[in-house]
Amino acid sequence: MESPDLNPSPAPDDAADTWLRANHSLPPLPDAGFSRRVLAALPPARRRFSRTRFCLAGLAAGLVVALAGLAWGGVPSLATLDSELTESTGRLLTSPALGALGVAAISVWYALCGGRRLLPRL
Amino acid sequence: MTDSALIARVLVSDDHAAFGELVRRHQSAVRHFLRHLARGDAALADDLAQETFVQAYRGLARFRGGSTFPTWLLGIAHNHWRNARRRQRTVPVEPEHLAALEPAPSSAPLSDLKHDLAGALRTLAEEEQTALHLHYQQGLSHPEIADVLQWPLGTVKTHLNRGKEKLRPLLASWNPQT
Repeated sequence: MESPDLNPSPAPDDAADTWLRANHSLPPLPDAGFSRRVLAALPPARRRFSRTRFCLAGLAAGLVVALAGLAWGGVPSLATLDSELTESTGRLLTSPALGALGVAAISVWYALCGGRRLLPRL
Repeated sequence: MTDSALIARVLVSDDHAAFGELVRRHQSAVRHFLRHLARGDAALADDLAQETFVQAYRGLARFRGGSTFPTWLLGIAHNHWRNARRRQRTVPVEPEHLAALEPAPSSAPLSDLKHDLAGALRTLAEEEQTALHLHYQQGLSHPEIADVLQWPLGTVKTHLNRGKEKLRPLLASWNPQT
C-alpha cells in the first residue's frame, strides 16, 4: 500500500510565484553618495531654541535680579516679604492684570511649542 | 533603531543624521522602482529619487503609519514619476540602460534565463510590468501595491495575473513544474 503523499508538489501558480521570486530578484543598489546628495538638498535644520538654554537663561536672570536686589536694597525680613508678596498677588489677580498674564503665558507657550497642533483635525 | 524611532527623531529635533539613515535604508528600493519606471534611465531615476526623499522629509509629519515607511516612499516616488512624465511626455528608452539593470551574471545558464526574462517582461503592458516589479522584486503585498499605485485592489490582481499568464510559456520552458 502506498503511503499518502505528505509533501504534495506545489500548485502551478505557487510554482510560478516561487520561480519568479527566485529569478526576478534585484541586488541592492549601492548608496554611492546618494544619501549625501539627498542630505545636501534638504532644507536647513529649523533653529529651535533649546528649552534647557531657555531655563538656564531664566535662572541666570533671576539670580542676577535677586543678587542686585540684595546688594542695593538690603535683605528684607521674611515678614515684610510675605506681606509684599500677598499684596502683589492680590493686585495681580485683578481682572486686567490676570488677562495680561494669560496673554503673556499663551504667547510664551506659542513661541516654544508653536509647531504643535492646538486642536484635532476635524 | 527602527524606522519609527528615526522618524520620531526627525520630527522632534529635525535630526538630519536620522533622516540620512532612513535614506540609506530605503534608497535602493526607491531607486530601483524609479529605474524600472524610467526604463533604466539611471540619471533621471536618481533625480526623481532625490526629489522623493526631499518631499518625504518636508511631509514627514503627514506620515501616519497607515502603511509602512518604504511603501509610503514608493507612493511619493510614483507621484513624482507621473508628474515628470507629464512634464516630459516622453522619456527616452535606451536598450543599453535596460541591459545595465540586469544583475551581474553568475553563470551562463543563469545569464540566459535573466536575459530571457528581461526580454519577456518588455513585451508586457507597462502596468503589468510595474505590478510584477513591485510584487516580485520589491516584495510588496497586493494591498501595498494598490496603496503605492493608487489602483483598486482588483486591478492590481488583474495586472499581476495577466502578466504572469503572459510569462507562463517562458516559465514553462525554464521550469517544467509551472
